Parts: sequence; C-alpha cells; structure tokens
Amino acid sequence: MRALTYQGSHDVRVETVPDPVLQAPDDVILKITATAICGSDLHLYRGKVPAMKSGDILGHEFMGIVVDAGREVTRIKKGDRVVVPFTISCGDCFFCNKQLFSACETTNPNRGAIVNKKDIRPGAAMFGYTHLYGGIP
Amino acid sequence: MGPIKVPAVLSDERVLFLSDILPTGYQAALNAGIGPGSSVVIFGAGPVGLMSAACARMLGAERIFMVDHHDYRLAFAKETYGVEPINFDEVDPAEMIIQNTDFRGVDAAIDAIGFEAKGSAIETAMTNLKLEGSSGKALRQCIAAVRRGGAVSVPGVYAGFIHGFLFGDAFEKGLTFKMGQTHVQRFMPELLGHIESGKLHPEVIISHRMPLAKAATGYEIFDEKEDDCRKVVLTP
Repeated sequence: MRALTYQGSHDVRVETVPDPVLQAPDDVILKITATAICGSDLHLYRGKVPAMKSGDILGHEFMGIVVDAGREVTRIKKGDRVVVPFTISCGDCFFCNKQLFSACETTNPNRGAIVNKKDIRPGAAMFGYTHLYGGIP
Repeated sequence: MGPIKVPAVLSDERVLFLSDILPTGYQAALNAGIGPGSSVVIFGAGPVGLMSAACARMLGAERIFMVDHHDYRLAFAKETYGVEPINFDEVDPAEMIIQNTDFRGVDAAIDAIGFEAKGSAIETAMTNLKLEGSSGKALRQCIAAVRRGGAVSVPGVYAGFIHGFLFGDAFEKGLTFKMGQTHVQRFMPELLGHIESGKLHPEVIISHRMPLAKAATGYEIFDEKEDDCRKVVLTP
C-alpha cells in the first residue's frame, strides 16, 4: 500500500509499504477513504519531536471502510464505514473507566513524553506519533 | 474501543474531523468552562482554534476574541464564527483584550498553539536549541488576558520545561488550568449527533483537497501558511 513516511526534517515522501495484516484477534483492517494533516503533525515534520525514525508512517486523522476484522471484534464488521480516534484506548482500565481515554494505561509500550516519570505507567498510544507513543503503525 | 460508525448520508469531509480536531476543540471549550454568555480568547486561528470557536459558539459563548498573525486566518475566523480578530504582530493581544472587556479580562482563554509559540524570539531560539522544552509566550498571554477567577484551557501540545511560566500572576488572579491530550472517544458520539443535526459543520475549514501522492505538498503549504492554507484533506 502507499503511505506517507517521514524521512527527516521537512522531508516526507509517499512510499510503498507492506500491506497490513491482522496480527491480534481484535485487530481491524481499514481501507482509508480520507485523511487530514494535523497541526501536531507539523511538530513532527519540523523535526521537533524526538524518537522519529526514517520510514515512520505519519497520519492520525483518518477514516474508511472496514475490509477485515479479527474474530474478537464485535462492535464493527466488514463493510462498516468508520472514523478512528487518534488515541488508542482499551476501554476498560483504571483510566478508561473514568472516561480519561488519552490516559489509557494498557496500549502504549513506550514512555510518552513525560520527563519526571517516577515509574508511572504511560498514557494511551497514539497513531503516527513517534516511538514514544507506540511507533504506530 | 474506538472506531465510530458514521451514517452514509454524511460525506467523509463532514465527519473526518471526529478523529481529532473536533473533539479537541470541544474538550478545549469544555475545559474553558464556556457556557451561555461566556467571553473567551482563543490563541491560534489554526484548525484546533477554529474548532474551539465553533464549539464555543455552540455552547453559547457571547464574545470570542481570536489571536493570530496571519490575516487570512483571522479573516476566515471572523467571517465564519464572528470572532473579534487580533493580530499579535500589531498589538499586544492581552492588553487589547483588557481594554475591551471593561479592564477586567475574558472569562477564559484557550491556548491552541502549544510549544512552538511565536512572538518571543529568545524563547523560540531556546526551544530550537532544546535549552527549554517549550516557549511560554502563548501561556503568559493567556494568563494576562483572563479575568480573576477565570480559566486557561490548553489543547496545544507542550513538552518538557516551559520558559517563563508566570505562576505568580496565575496565583494572584486565582486561575484554573485544564489541559491535556483529548479523550477523543468520550466526545465522538455526542459530536456526531451535533454534526447530524446541523449544529456543527467542521468541513467548512477545509481549504485544500489533494491525492495522497501530493501529501508532501500538503505538508509544505500547511507548514508555510501558503496559498491561504487552513486545512488539507488527502484522499487515496
């Protein structure tokens, strides 16, 4: 598939990257029909945010049609047209249960941008926002 | 949990911003405590500032000041949301706001700019050199423009230490600060309803549409504020 990749400060290029495949039983594959550039993408574009690697795919404002879904996906199905939130949240953890979805403590394997961490768990992973937030995709 | 189904009757452009900037603008307006009769200043007439203005109007704000230094953006905001535009290259925004609010200040300020705020050459230099994480210019203006007991709402991205955070003034004025990454999933269903009922039309801010193949151009014009660029939407 074609994707916009970061190659360095002020250097983004559309390249051909591997097609996505279902990896976990609650994964969904989306054929994107529209996407937008965010002001926060410009921080990445300008090289101001650490933990970007050459080849990272950018973009976190998107929508499309579900073309495949894992067996544990229940709320949406193939053919549904959906808009995807940029925050990746599990829906049932300490913070998600308080509706603080950007603080979800189960989705981000990295540390986020916190400085004085004191061992707290990270907040939610985000689409297209460096290897501080999951390196997604 | 996450993706929200959208009805076929709504075109992509009308619902795309549910992914980020519309919930971000809405959370910013809620964090600012905006309700019927509120006065607010929004720093930054970019997409999040515009979505904040749209949501502020929906929540009943009576007076919206908007601060930027690109006249085309201020003109669009004035035409679309009836804001009172302020160009910070020409005047000190907080000073102007105080003079125009009975020498008291607005109820709330929304910082829709974040850590790369312009207006202080030294802080921009320090941020670029990574001596500080963020420029404090926008937040100092927020603190100065808001009335005692008011609120400062920050959807703009900040990281690390900030230069020159005038905490003493914030204390003196008894301010409330609310901020952070958007809890997108919390607001998507409600905002979809507002789009369906015609209360919100986020698609009006789109200025450029192009194929994914031209994405690099999209980034360039958005970054450089060229061609009166407000928001770029890409399709396959």
